[in-house]
Amino acid sequence: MVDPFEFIHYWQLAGWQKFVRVFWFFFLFEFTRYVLIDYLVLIFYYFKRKVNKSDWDDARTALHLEQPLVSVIVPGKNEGKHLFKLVKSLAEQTYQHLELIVVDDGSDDQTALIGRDLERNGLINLFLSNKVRGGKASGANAALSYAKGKYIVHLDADCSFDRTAVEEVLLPFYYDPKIGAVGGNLEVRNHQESIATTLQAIEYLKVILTGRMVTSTLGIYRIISGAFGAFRADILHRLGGWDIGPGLDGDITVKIRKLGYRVYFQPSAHGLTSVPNTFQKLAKQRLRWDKSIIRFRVRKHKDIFYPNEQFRFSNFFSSLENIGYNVIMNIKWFIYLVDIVVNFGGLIKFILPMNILLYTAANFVQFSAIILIVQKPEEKRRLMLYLPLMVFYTGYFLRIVRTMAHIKELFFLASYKDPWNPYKSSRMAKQLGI
Amino acid sequence: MQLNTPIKSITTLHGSRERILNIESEGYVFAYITDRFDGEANAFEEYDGVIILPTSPVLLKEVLHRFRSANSWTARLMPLFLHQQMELEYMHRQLVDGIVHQLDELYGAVSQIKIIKDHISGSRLRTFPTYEKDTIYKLLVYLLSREQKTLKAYIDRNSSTGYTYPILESLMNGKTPYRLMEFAVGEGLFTTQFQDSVYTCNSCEDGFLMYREACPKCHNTYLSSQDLIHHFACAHIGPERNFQRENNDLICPKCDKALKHIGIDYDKPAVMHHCNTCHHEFQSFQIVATCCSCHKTTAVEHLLKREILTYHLTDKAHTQVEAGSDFNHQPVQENAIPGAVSEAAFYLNMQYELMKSGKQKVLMGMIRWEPFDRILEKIGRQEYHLLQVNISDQVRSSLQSIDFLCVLDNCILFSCLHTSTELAYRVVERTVFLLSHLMKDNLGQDITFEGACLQLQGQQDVKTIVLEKLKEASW
Ligand SMILES: [Zn+2]
Ligand SMILES: [Zn+2]
Ligand SMILES: [Zn+2]
Repeated sequence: MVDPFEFIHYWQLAGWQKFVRVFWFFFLFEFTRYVLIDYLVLIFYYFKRKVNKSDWDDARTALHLEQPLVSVIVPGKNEGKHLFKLVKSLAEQTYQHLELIVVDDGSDDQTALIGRDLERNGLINLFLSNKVRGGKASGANAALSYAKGKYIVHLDADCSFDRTAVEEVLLPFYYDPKIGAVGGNLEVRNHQESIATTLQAIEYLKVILTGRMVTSTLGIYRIISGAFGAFRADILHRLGGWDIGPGLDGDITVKIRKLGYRVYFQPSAHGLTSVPNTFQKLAKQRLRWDKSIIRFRVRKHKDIFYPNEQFRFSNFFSSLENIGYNVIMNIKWFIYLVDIVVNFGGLIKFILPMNILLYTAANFVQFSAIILIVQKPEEKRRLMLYLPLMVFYTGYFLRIVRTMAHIKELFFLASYKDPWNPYKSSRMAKQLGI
Repeated sequence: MQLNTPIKSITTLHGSRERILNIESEGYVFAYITDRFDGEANAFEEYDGVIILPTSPVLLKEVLHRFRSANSWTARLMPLFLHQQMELEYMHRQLVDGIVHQLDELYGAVSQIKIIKDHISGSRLRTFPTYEKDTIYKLLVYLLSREQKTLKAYIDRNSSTGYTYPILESLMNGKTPYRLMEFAVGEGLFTTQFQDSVYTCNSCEDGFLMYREACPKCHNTYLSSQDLIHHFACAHIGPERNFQRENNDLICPKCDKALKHIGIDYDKPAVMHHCNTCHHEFQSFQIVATCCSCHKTTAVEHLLKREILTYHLTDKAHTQVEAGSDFNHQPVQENAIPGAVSEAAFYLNMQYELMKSGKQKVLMGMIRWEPFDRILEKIGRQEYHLLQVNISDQVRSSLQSIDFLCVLDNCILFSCLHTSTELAYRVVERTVFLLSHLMKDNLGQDITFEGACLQLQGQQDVKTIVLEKLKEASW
């Protein structure tokens, strides 16, 4: 360990110029994006929300006057154990003109029995049981085939929702007719289970703020989580529903944007989800997610960058930002690492602690903003104790997983081999180059 | 047929077209009739046995029934023989004592009569004022006199449940014997053995049901089915008709590609059914049964399942018939709720409490539930009765032992004696809360409870006040 006095002394002598030179990566990218832009957008968001408050009230009145049928669709495999809780959570909703369609995608447990029973008792409107697994997209599409609602709310069975969640997620459609899809706000339910879940809870909160509110406000919100999202049914039908995953959530969002619709994040539509409780399981999940970025952004939807008639700057930036902050940023970070090792190799013992200090400080500043906007902030304060660990979590763990995913997908097309999709679908998709 | 029989005389019964041949053997006098005999069974008091010549199963059944359901002990216990060459049909074994092949060879019948008479003389032939007790007693005497230790059920298309106990059918004039036999078993007179189980209508207990698939939403039976197709390349899933083109091609409606090879570019993961009446799409049929007797259509899960049992007489039955002793318990009246008094008794008791109390208030509670007619329609009379019993038990458990209650169709009335107004209100409130939670879960269907507290005083008529309250739409 470095002697703290020596450490302070070193940085005192080094001066600002050297400080910025060593931490150019932080100042150029991370501070700008995660702290500066956050605060600016946050102020803008609340300002706008306040100014437009009467419009939002009108939207609520319009929703309740129209009372459209809303189809809640829940595709999944072996989700039977969650169904009863989900049904209860939906029964409590303030918006009640719902039909619930559950798709059992080739489950090999009790799901079919449980679902059938709930259907028979009128708690599920339609329970579709596919004997053979078809993958997440086909499950959602099966539900879509039979959905009668004007809006489709896509949920994961293992999530639970605030009483107002469905009502809130529908409001944007009545606020702005150009909005075609709305993302709901999911927080981590099991945040106290392990260090892994605690760090993910912090990550989710950060994502809500930077990844969703900021991008939504800037008009470049790019991925509506399948765990909780709402869609205009006419648009989904026009698109023929979801294409095969993984990454189908991002894919459908891009397709909706391509049609010229806006995509909106609704922080007040609030639900809880369970996250992987070990780093191992987490790594597996993230490998899958990160591979999809290459597959769908870079490969399938590269036309977004082409100057054709469908070209829109917001779409362009949405994808660019996504690719930029994921793929390119990752590469740059390694450049940075090389830069530091080559040019300041002997100073690692001073740089590393400073690095941690800097990022933790930035995390605290950012988290303060989060505390301002989340529900039940007093519960969230506990998470602040773990902020120093976030440097390792986002800075190293996630980055390494992401890099592995990108390399695998870019050079080996690994996602087509992913057991997450049935082999028959993956083979087809690979042949067709999607 | 050349009859070499000692025909004693020929009697003509008043009002009957049929004449009776009297046959004597070893000092026992038999009456010989055909099953066309349509006179009273009580007319054979003088005879020791009756030989019947069967001509048709229907007429035979009819005449046997006339004997076994007769009012007099003699006629009911009359030894009956069939004049035929065949073996006894199993249906008749409970009702007939033997076969006579030739009318001049009656020693078999005579020895049978001796045994029967012996048993009868060892029994006390008494009656009971209660229908249930009386019928069971008649059954016991009959079975013991015939040394029939087991009472088996026989398949019978004329019986409402599909099974019949011929002797019970006669004794009870065709009424269903199950509740009665429960009582007898409870008395320790029979032990039981599983024989079969049957489903019966939940409203009239009839066993003749027509089963078929129906739409789970509107219960109509006009349905059609179609495969669901999954196109792998674009993940589209939809009913086959959306893929079908005129030239028999299968074209994906999402991506316009032709589907060629099942298992390679598409598959059929499930079957969907379509209701042609309400256009509901679904995967699992509801199986419904329509009762041939009351025409009610019920989902099969709401049918009554009944165990058909074989009953074995116990020694206790023997001693009871010998001594002519009374039963240990009172039979449960049909639809009586244990621990509850009748409506009339309730008002009477309340009125009495009111009179006793002088100027003091007397409290009572009422809890009612809705939508009782829809629940009754869905779960049937039997299940509904169980629901009433459950509710009554729940209310009972929150009352004091001196309190009494009565159960109406969808309302329960109960006294709240020697308690404060406040406490009575709390009891009602808490019971309503408990019932709402318990019953909704048990029933798997919406049921709402509401409660009220009545304060009675002085000369008020309890019944009028209760009826007045029941008229109010909500409490
Ligand atoms: Zn297709
Ligand atoms: Zn129907
Ligand atoms: Zn019936």
